[in-house]
Amino acid sequence: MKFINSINIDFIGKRRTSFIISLVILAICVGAYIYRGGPNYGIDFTGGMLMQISFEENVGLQDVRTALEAGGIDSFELQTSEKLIMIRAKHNVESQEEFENKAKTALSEKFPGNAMTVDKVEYVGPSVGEYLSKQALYAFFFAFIGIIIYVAFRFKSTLWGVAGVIGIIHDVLISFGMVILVNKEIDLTVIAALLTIAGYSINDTIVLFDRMRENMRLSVKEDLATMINKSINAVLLRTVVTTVTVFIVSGCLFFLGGEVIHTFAYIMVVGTVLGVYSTIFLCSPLVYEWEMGRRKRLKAARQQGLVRGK
Amino acid sequence: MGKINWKLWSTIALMVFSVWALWPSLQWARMSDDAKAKAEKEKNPILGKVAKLGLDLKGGTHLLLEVDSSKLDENVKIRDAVDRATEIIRNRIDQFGVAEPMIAKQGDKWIVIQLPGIKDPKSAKELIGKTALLEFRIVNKSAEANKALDLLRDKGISPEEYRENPSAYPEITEALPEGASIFSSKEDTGYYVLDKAALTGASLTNAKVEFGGQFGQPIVSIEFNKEGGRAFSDITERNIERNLAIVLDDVVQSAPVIRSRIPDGKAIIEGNFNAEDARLLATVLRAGALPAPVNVIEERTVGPSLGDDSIKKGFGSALAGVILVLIFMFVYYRLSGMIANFALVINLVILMAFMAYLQFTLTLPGVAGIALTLAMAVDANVLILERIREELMAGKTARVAVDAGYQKVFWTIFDANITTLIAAVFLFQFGTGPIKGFAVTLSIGLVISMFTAIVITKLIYEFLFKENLLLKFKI
Repeated sequence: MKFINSINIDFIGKRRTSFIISLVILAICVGAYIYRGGPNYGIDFTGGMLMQISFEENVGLQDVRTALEAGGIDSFELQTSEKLIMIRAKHNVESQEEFENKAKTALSEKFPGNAMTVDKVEYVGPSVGEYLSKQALYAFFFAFIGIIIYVAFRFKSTLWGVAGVIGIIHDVLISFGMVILVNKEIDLTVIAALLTIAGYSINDTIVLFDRMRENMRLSVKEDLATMINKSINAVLLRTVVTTVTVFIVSGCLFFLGGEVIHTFAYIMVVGTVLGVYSTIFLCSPLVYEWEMGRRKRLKAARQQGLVRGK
Repeated sequence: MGKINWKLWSTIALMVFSVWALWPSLQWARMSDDAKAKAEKEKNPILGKVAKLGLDLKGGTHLLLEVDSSKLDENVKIRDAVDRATEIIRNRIDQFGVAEPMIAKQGDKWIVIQLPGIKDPKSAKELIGKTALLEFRIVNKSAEANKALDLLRDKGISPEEYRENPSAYPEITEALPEGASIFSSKEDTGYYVLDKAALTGASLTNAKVEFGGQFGQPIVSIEFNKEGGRAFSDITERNIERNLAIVLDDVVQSAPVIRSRIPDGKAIIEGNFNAEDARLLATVLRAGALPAPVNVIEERTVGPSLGDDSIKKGFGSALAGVILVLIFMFVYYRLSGMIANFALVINLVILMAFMAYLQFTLTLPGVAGIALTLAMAVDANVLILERIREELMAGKTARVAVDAGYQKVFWTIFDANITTLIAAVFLFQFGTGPIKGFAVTLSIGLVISMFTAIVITKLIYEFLFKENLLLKFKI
C-alpha cells in the first residue's frame, strides 16, 4: 500500500507564506493570552488547595456552593459533574487542615444520607509552587542548550541546532497558546505534554536535517533550495505515516481516555501537526535563509580578499 | 554469520533477562488481595522486585515537609538537622507500618515522603509532624519566679506569647531566674516557671504504653540509657521534695513531687491520655524527637477509588491506541509491518522489565512517556521501511535494498533518539514529580526502542533471507 507516489513540492519557494502563517498563529496565541487575561495556572504553580469528592447520588452545583460558603470557605472555584465535585482554592489557603475539615463538615451536613468519598486532596504551599515553576523552566532551558550543542556537533553547524530549537520553541509556544485558547488549566500534566511535544518536534526536525546532510554530501554542486526541497519531499511519506500513527494514539487518548488525560491528548493532537509543520515550514526555510546569508557574506569577504579559499 | 550471532545472542540475553525481571510482577499480579496484604505485612522480599506503581495509579499520600529552621538550635547546622529529621521520620513511619514508604531529602531543607496505599493520611501526618521534644525540668518556686508569673498575669499574655518573643517583655525576662522560662500545663492548672532542661528525650532507650495509674488509665513508661539513668538519679537525689515537670512539646504533662532518689533510670509520664494518644506518644518517643518542627508544604492524596476509574480509562485508551497502530502498520506494510509490530511488542516488554529491575516508579505521565517512546519506535521502523522502498524502486534486489535501508537510516534514528534523550536526561535532573516520571520511561524507552527497532527487526530479515523464506519482497 502506498499513499502517494513521487512528489515534488517547492517548499522553500513558499517560505515567505509559511513564515507569515506562523506569525499569524503566534498572533492568535498572543490574542488568546490577552483575551483570557494570562494563563489559567493550576495550584501546582500558584499554590493552593484542591479537593475532589465523589458522592453516591448526584448533587447540584448551586447546593454545593451555598453549603461551602455557609461552612466558612470563601473564594474558591467549583466544578461539578453529576456525582463528582471539584473544589479549588488558589493562593489563599492558610491552613490546609482547616480547609479540609470545613469542607467535609459543610458537605456532610448539607447532604446527609448521601455518602461521600474524598478522592483526591492536593495542597501546594506557595514556596513549592515557586519551586516547581523554577524547576520546569530550568528543565526546558538546559534541554534546549543540550540539543543545540549536540545538533551543532553532529551537523557541524550551530545554525542547524538553533533552527531546530526555534522549531521546538515555536511548537511549544503555540501549543501553550492553544491551551490558553480553550481555557484549560495549566498544571504539571500540561507541562509533561508540552515536553512530549518538544521531544516529538526535535525528532521530526532531525530526520529531515539528516536527509539534508546526506543529500549535501551526495551532490555538493546542487543548488541549496533544490537540495532542501528534494530532502523534504523524500521524507514526506515517512512524515505522513508517522503522523498518522501518532494521531491514532492521541485520538484514542482524547476520545476514550477520560478527564485526566483529556488535556494531555488535546496538546498531543495540536502538537503533532505543529511538529511536522515547523520542520517543513520553519526550520528548513530558516536554515536556507541563514545558510544563504552566510554564503553571501563569505562571497563578499572573498571578493574583498579578506578570506582566502576555493 | 558473525553479525547474526551477536544480534541473536544479545536478543536472547535480553529476553531471558526480561522474563526473569518480570517474573515477580507476574506472580504478584496473580496473588489474591489477602495474600498481597499478608506479603506486605511480612515485608516479603518479593516486594522489592515487583514493578512499582506511582501514587497517582494506586492511591496514597505524597507529602513534602519543610524543616522550620527558625526554631533550630543555633549551633546545629541545618543540614544535619534535616538529615536527622529524615532519619527520625523514617523510624516513625516504619513503626506505623506502611508498605514501601519512600522518604528522602530534597533540596536544602525539604523532606519528601510517599506513603502508597495509605487509608488515613491524617493520623500519618500527625505522627510525622509531632515534634515530641521531651524535657525534664525542675519547677522553680522562688520569689523571683512568682514575681515573673505575676507580671505575666498582669499583662494578660500566655506563656506561649511570651516565649515567642521574650525581648518584647523585658521586665518578665529580668525577673526570671537564669535559664528558666514559663510554660502552661496540659491540665490547665495554671502556669509553671521551670528551670532549664535537666534531661531530654534524647537519652531514652525505650518508651511503652502501660495501663496503670489509679484508674487504670494509659500511661507511658520510659527507660533512660546509662548516662541518662545516672543523670536522672542525680537530679532526683538533689531535688527531693521539689516538683519535676515532664514537658512535652513545651506543654507540662505532669509535675509530680520527687519523694526519693530514682536509681534505676525508669520513669512514667502521666498526662490524662487516651489509649491512642499514649500509643502515638510512645512511638514518637522511641523513634526520637525531631530537631525542629516540620511543616507540610505540599500534599497530594489520591484515594484508591479515583485510581481505579480514571486509570482504567487511561490504560484502556492507550491500549486501544497501540492496537490500532499495530493494525495500521500491518495493513500498510504487510509482512514488514508484522515484523515491526513484533519489535514494538518486545520493546514494551523489555521496557517494563527494566522498570521493574531498576525499581523505577510508573506514573500516569510515565505512561505518556511510554506512548512517546512507542511513537518513536514506530517512526524508526517507518523510516527504515520507506528507505527500503526507495532502494527497491531504484532497482536493487530485496536483500541489498534491506541492507542499504538499514545502513542509511541508522544515523538518522541514532541522532533523532539521542537529541530526545538529551532532553529527557535534563528533565530527569530538574524535573519533579510527574515530570520525572515522564523522563524515566522516556529515557529508558528511547534506548530500548533503538535496539528493538534496528537490531531485532534486522535479525528477523536476516533469518528470513538465510532460510530463503523471503524471495519476493514487496512493501
